[in-house]
Amino acid sequence: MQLDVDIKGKSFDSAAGKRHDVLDQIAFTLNEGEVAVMFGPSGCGKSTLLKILAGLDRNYQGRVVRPISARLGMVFQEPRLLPWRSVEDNVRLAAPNVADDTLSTLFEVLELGAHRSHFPGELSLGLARRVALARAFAVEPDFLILDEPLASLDNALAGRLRDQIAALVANRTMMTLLVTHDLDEAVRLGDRLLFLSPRPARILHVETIATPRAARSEQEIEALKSRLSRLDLANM
Amino acid sequence: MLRLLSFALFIATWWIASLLIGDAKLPPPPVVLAAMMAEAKSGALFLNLGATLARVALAFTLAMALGSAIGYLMGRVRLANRLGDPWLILLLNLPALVVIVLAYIWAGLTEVAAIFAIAINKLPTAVVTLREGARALDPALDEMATVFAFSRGRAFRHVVLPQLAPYIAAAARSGLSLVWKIVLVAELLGRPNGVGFEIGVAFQLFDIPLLLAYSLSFAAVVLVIETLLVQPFETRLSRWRLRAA
Repeated sequence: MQLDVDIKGKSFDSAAGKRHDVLDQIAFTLNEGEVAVMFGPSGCGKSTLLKILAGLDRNYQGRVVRPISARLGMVFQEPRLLPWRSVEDNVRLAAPNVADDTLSTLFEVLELGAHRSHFPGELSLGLARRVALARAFAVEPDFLILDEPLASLDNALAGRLRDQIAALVANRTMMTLLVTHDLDEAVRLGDRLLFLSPRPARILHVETIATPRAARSEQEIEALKSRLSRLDLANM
Repeated sequence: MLRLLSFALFIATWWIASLLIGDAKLPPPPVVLAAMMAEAKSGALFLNLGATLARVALAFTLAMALGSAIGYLMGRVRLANRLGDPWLILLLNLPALVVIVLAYIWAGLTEVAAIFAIAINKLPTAVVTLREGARALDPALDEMATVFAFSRGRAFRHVVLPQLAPYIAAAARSGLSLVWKIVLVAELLGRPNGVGFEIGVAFQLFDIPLLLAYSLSFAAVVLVIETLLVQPFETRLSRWRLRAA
């Protein structure tokens, strides 16, 4: 199972009638078991790209080939939970066939066990994010999209949640696409890093990390980070 | 407790007013109560209240069902809105009396004409409210439902309907009060029973105790339905909001 992306361009007309180019040429493939990380400045069109990949936006040039049978799981930038359904119902509505013990394990890993019957309005942002993660993993996806899952959380919490995501991703063979603008997160979670330009977005640089995710040492991660942060992306 | 106190205050004010104005124009509470008991004993009170309630229930259900469906469609589909809007404005501003009189002229003094006329009066307000609700639906949640492959029924029940619930409750609340008012006019003009008909009779005979007996019984029924049916329903719909506060 693999995802073939070959986008030639995407633009939209603003309310004032002006044409805005959001995406330039973007082509890559994503294989099973692989975690690709989109890394780029805010507002460069990452979310637009994700919408296209998730099949929410079909109005673009080029093509995206996704296996029809592939189950999609997605964590949006905002949790997007149904405020009028409990935490457990939110997950079960998205994943009606989820087994009870799968769900229990998931809630345990994400430390949500005590919040099953709470409504989303009663949760902090960190907890709501975890519910959104639980929902995405509960569908047992073949293609997982994570749109800045750790944004606006404090460092300690983000670190813990990042480790939980790493554990969940390692547990299942699927195509994973993570969007972030945090280099540390990118280097720790990704196998292949796609560096995007400012709008209209195109791929500036691809960095493949050979060492498996679980085997990376702190030293290696630091070395990668300092090398990547020295990349002169503006002039590529 | 506070409710009882406010009710007692109402009775006291009424009694004092009747002493000041005189029995002929405003009979005191015991006289009205006696008239109410007499009507209740003969069974006429329950028959008429029942007839009115049945008309309210039918017209309300019809108008809510039709109005919600049309309103949702107009809020979601631009073409439907463009086509329906002039009709909506016309219906919104058409006086209730015109609709009732025309319905009786065209369809005869029948039950169908009465219920249809009452429903037509309520319909446009339900449409307007539900249209606003459908326009306010959150596209972010629609996307979520698409990504997680919600079926149409599941998305409607768990994503769309809860967002429309406050609008449906508002339409029901305002619609019910409108129907309570209009049903009496429709009965006065062309039905042989019901609270409106009895009030018409009492007016012609200048029987003020009878008039008040029917008005107050009707008001009591409205009050009971509002507190026992409408309010608990609204509380239930918004329980996730209450707990979040």
